Amino acid sequence: MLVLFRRFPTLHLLFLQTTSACPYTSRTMKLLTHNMLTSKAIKGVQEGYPLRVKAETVEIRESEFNKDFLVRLLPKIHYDALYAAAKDAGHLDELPGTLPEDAASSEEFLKKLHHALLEVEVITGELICPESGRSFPVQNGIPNMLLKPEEIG
Amino acid sequence: MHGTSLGTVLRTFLTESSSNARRSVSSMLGRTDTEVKPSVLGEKSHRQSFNCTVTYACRKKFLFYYAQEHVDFRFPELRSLCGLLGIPLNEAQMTNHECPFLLLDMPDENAARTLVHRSVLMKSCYECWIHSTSLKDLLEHLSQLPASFMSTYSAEGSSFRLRVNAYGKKLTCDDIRNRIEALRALPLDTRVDLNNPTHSFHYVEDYGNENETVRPFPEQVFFGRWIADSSRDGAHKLRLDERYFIGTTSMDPLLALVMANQAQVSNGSLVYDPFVGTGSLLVAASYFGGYSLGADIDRALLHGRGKSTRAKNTWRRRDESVLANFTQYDMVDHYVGIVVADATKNVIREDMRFDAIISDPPYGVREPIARTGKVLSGELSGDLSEVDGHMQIGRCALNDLITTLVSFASKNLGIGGRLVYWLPVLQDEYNETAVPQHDCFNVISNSEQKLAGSTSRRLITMEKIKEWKPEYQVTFAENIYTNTFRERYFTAKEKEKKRKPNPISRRVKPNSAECQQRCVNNK
Repeated sequence: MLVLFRRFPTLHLLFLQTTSACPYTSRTMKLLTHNMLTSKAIKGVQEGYPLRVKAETVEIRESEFNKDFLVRLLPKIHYDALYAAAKDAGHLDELPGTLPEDAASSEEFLKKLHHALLEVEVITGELICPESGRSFPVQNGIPNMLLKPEEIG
Repeated sequence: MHGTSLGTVLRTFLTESSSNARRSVSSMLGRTDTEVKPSVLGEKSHRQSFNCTVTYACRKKFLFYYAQEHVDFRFPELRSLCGLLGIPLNEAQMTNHECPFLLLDMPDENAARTLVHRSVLMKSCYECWIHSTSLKDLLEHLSQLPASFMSTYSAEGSSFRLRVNAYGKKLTCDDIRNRIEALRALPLDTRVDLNNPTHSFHYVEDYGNENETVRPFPEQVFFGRWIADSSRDGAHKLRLDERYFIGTTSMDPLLALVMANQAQVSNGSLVYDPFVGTGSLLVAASYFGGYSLGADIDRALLHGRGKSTRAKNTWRRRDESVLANFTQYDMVDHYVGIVVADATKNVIREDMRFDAIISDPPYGVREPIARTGKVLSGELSGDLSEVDGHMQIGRCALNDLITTLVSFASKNLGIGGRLVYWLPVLQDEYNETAVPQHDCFNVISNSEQKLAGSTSRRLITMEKIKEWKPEYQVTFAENIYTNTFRERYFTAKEKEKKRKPNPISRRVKPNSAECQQRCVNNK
């Protein structure tokens, strides 16, 4: 073995490559990302929002709750779109049907919101335009929103 | 230990311990004070003749010591950070941005500490006690520090250390020892602790950097109490050689952090990069607590396919991704997502409001500008390439790209939100009109980083002040960023090379015809 290493000094690289493979987890699409995406660029589509979620694989991954962030985020998101997406993904998990009035001050609600926005993660699936029915694939947690030239308005 | 070379630290350590030993020896022998060698004290600088400024009592004068790097970015960063942290800034005190020493009034020590903590261009911050032109004057005042003032630092059980720094000159071991001997005039009699002192006192000499020859005596000297070091080690933490996923145009970590500072990213900001690439800007934004989202047209890159840009040019590992970088730096909770999308198309809904948009758009110089479908003006140049079997992606002019970026930001930023991006310029062509103007935006700053030849790039910071209206347009000198920009960019580089021939390359070829002719002429 040692002789081999001496003769081929780069042999250890082979081992390194195989042993250090995949130290990191796969990529995922959070529902917060979905909340911003639209298919308005398609020719003839007026709103293109919200995109329907057709999830094949969904993962739940816990992340740190940051109250400041969620309070800042609250006016930015579309709650109905989030509710629909969480329902489609099969992880409604106690998310209330309508936005409560004391949303920004209720930590209990913010935690549920945090769970839906940042912890429910779609790994494979599709996003579907509500008007044209065009489907955008989600592979490895990355949605592909590219369009063909003839589709662009 | 931050900010000085290891050598200096070691030397300081040695000298301090020896001076301490000597002090204890002399106290045993009953001697009161050793005489300071006159050679150290120096004469007053001939050029300047301001009196010694003693500011210890007010506790509001702080010395910010900058690293000698990215000089043009210093004041913009300072203004952005003061704006972010709510610290009032006295513009009158900001006179010379090229001097690495900046004396500023701060409301209190905490303000100075939070400011220096966040900065990446500063090295450290000191509460300035005495500012003078020579060590002699400084020592006079140092020895007269009132006991009532010093009592804060001589409390029971506290310890201190003294450190000597110089800018513009390398101090020898003897120099440092002499200065520390001299600084024993400090009326403080507590224990010396070099590693973990309660109070750290610094003496800094500034020799300036105007002349090539080193001045014999410093231009100015400072004595103060160390407050805190900056976030510069963040640039080391995010360094590219250790990063899991990088590309050809991954941003220098220090500049990426400067961009995050310019964008006033704070804990809980939502940050978007429409040309994310390998996510080097997002990593920096999340380093300061931002939540990051990015888009890029290059599907293969985001999925970690293709050839790696590292040495040996092997294939990328399948798990190379922007998320992998976030995982590597333990910021995975601040990763929102990545989308494969053409940033020039509507993929983000119009009423979405980001807190900051930071971007390093592809100029078409090192990376091609790719987009799908038709372009706003002109024609797609270059070959239309098939990507993913069905997608047509072509090159377009930088004009369109800048227009789209600014108009996207004008819609999708909240009021007060910032757009920070790079603009490539040819130094000969550059004037103010090259910077895009928009009614929604105030251009906050515009700093230059010089690149090879006569090219450079400018970091533009814009702040949104008004809501978007359809009649607002992006205006800038459109004849600059046309299809021929890339050609002109490289011609400028070539021209510069011809203008300044490398002196070494001449020396390498002594047998050239020109050289022989010159020898003949000389004979």
